[in-house]
Formats: sequence, C-alpha cells, structure tokens
Amino acid sequence: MSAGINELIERARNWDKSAIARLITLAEDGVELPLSIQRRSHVIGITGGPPGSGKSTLIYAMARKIPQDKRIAILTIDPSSPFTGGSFMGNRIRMQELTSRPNIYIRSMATRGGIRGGLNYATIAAVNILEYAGADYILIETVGAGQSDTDVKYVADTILVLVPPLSGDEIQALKSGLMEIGDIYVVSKSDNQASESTYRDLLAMVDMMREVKGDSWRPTVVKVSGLYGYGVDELLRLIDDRFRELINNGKLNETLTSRRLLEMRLYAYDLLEKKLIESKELENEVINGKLSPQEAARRLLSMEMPRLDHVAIAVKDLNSAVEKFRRLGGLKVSDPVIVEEQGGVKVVMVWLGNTRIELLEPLNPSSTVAKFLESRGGEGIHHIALEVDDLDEFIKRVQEAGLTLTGKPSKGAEGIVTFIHPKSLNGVLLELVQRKAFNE
Amino acid sequence: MPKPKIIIAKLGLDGHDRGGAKVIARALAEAGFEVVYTGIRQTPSQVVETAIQEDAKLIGISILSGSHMELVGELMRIMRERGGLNIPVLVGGIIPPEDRDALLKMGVAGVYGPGTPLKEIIEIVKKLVGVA
Repeated sequence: MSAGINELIERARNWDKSAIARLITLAEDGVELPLSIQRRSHVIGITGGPPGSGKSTLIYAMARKIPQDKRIAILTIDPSSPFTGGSFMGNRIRMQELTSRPNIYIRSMATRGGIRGGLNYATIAAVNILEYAGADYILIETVGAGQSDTDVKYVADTILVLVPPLSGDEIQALKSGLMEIGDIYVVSKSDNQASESTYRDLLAMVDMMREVKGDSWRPTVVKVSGLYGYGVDELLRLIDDRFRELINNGKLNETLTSRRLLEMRLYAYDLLEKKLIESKELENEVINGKLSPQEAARRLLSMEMPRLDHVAIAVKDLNSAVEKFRRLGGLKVSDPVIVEEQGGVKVVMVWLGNTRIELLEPLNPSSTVAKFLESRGGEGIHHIALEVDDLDEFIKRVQEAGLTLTGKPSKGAEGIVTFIHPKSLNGVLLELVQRKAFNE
Repeated sequence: MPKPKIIIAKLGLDGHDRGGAKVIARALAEAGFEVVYTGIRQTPSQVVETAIQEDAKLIGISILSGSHMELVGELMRIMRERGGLNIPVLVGGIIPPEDRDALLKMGVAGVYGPGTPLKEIIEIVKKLVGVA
C-alpha cells in the first residue's frame, strides 16, 4: 500500500489526473499523505449564499477564460445528508464543457459529517495535493451555507463573495459574517436589472470597511454575468493583481500556516467523530446513569481529571537517555528545556499517546534531582505527575487525607504545581499540576 | 469510512432532464452514496473523463434517444483505452429487449428499463461497488 502511495504522489507531480483523483480519495478515507508543499497556487475561495447564487456558473466562466497553459483545479463542495451520509452533487453540470480540457481538473466533494465552518479535512488535503501537483489556480466552491461558510478564509489566498441581485435585505444581515471575509465582492447575474442597486449597496459597504480592515489590499466590487461572460475579464485581472500583491508582501506562506492549523482542527473533528461512533460503551454508561454526559465526553477525549500527566525519570546523562527513547519505536521528543526550579534541571519530554515521560538531568550538585541520584543509589523513577482541574480543591482533599505537601503551590513551566511528600505516600513523590488554560 | 462515488450521466443528444436519471441519482444519494450528476448531453469521453477525475467506482448511464448501441460502444471503447478505468457501467432508459444482450456483451454490467424498482437498483449498485 505504502509503495502505491509513493507512486501515486510521483505521478500526481506531473498533473496525472487519475493519480490526483486517487490521492484525494485516499485523503477522504483518512490516509495521511507525505507531501511537502511549496506555495505556487493561487487558492481562491468562491463563497456567498444562498445556494443558487451563481457560484458554479461563475467558476465555469472564469475557468473558460483563464489561458489554457495554466493549470486549473476546481473543488466544488456539496452538502452531505446528516441522516444518510449520502450526497447529490450537481455542481459539475455547469462546468462539464471544461471536463476534457487537459489543463483543468474538477472534483466534487461532499461535506461529510456536518457543515461546521463549511469545509472538512479532506478539502484541505485536496488543496495540498493539487498545489503539489502544480495547479496555478485552485478554485474552491463552498457549500453556500451563508454565515457559517467562513473557514475558507484560512485556506484561500483570495475570497470572492458572491451576492446575487435582489438580496438587498440580506446585505444588512450579512455584514457580520461573509461580509468580513471578502477580498472581492462579485455581484452575480448582472444581466438582471436589479443588480445595479446591489452593486451600489456593496460599494458603500466596502467603502466603510476599507478603513477598518487595515490590509494593504482594498476590497473591491465587480459586476459579473457568468452566463454571458460579462465582467469576467475584469474579475480575472483583479485576481491576478491580488496574487502579485500577495507574492510581493510575502503573504502566501501566512496562508499556508493558517491552512495547516485549519487542517489540524478539521482532522481533530474527524477523529472526534470517529471516536464518537466507536464509543458505544460510554454511551451505555450515560444511558444507565453511571456517567453524566459531560463526564463521558471528557473521558472520550482522555480529559477526565485527574489524569496521568507524566512519569519523571532522573538520569545522569540526558543525551544518551533521549537517544534510547528516540530509538524506541520512533518516539517524538521535545527540545531540551532548562528549568530553574528544583535547583536547576535540564528537561526533555518523550511523547506517548495520552501521557509523557519526563527525563530530568541535574545541572548542579545542589539540585534536588542530583540529591535524588545520590541518595537513592542511582537513576530511576523520580516522581509521578497527575493533572488536576482545580489544584486548590485537590489540595484540600490531600490535607483531609492526612498527607503532607512539600511546600506551597508555585508556578511551573506548564501551570501551577505542588508535590505530595514521598514520606506520606508510600515512597512516591506525587506532583500535582493544574494547567494555565483552566485558570486564565 | 470509504464512500464509493457514483457518476450518473445522460449520454448523447437527448434533452429530457426531468425523469429517470435524476430520480436514480437522488435515490442513490438517499441510500448513502455520493452521487455526481453530470446533466444532459454528455459525450462518452466527457463521462469517462469525469469518472477519472472523481475517482468513481461506478457509472450509471441513461439514454432515451435510441443511440445506445453507438454511444455505449464508444464509452466502453474509451474506458478500455484509458487503461486504468475498470469500473462497472449500468445502462438505463429505453432499450429494446433485442439490444440488451448486445450491450451486456460489450461489457455493460446491467441494463435496466423503466419500471425497475429503485430498491432493486440500489441493491445492484451496492453489490457492484462492494458495500454490504
């Protein structure tokens, strides 16, 4: 399987459409593809509601007029049924004439698993694949869900917001949603007489926003008729102007960063969805009243407190210890950090599935870790750390149980920490951590 | 979870866009498939190209015009030429009984005329793309 993927990736690099198509399917099925992305595509999001506002027709008109020596990829997104998971995808109908052009690749994608911000993980993966394959333009047609259709701004370098004529009332309503993300506002169906007043309304709105946005690009408004090709040349000129400006300002890599972060967020949603489907046991605990819905949700995400945060090992030579763990099944390790508390230690975290191993090397003989190494006759487990959600509350319980703390809570690298003395807990030094996120 | 994609297309010079093909596409979507409807007046090469770009697992063709022998013949030929595209093709529409066997001989996986229950078509599609 893995060799197959590498071969597909190699073929996709030469704009092999069947390889691109297979890779996108793999991404839709949740396969992680080893692609390194160099920015080269102008990613353009085409959004604006309601459904039927002319997005597909506009994309057709644009793709037809872009020179044929440019590679154009079109991702057109349709909603999945929340009930059956199926999708009726009809956006291609208006673009089919372009299907056989060698420079054009069109792919219909279903939202799968709800709409949220309008995109799903596979959309981002598809953008990565298409940029890798050498697309000059990647046009993303969003699902057209109006206000919530805004995630596209984290992926696209340029956002076109389509506004059909006779949506005067909606312009007011749209102001705080879609109307914030447009780089170019497009009045669609400008063969309709009513488009003139929509155009004027938008111009006034954009003028007001120019002062607020603080971007060097000034949002503009164009009138377009996709059906008759009117205004499309002007729109394409604006799009290319915008791309040149993004290159000159070095903004393309900023979008790549926000794309990667969105990819992480959407992949997390996918994983959560999968976990939820597989969580029949937890569902039963909720049904029979053993767990509250909130407890079950936290347990699903391994966030039920207290949880094992890390196990710390005192070592004499950090580098050789790190090397051993690194070799163990390719474990990921953090960069070394110097911590002044505890009399000075050098720390490396070894990442495990839902917890970590902390490796501690003393920096000087007065460090508590150095004393531990001497007094306990060598290296070994130094302490165990539990994460708690309310340290003050937990300390009360510690005191009620008659256990002794080593001292007052203090600020550690990742939150507030304190320790239970090993003398009162069967020889184990137990660290208690409350992360900042819960407090601040 | 893998979700096989299906192309539903109307081949050739046939302007009817109200009937069977849309109903089938919609029914398959309701059965949980992702269905790409290409619309009317498609050429065989457009349909093949669409199936490649969509990585489709099945093509459903509707023809009412009577040119099914020529059009389906060309579709199957182009699919063979494009090598990698080895997916089942179903044909629906107005197909005289005497042409049925000839179409099956061309490699078509099934021929279904008017009156075929939607449930039957859904079951056939499920079987052909390998979902239980």
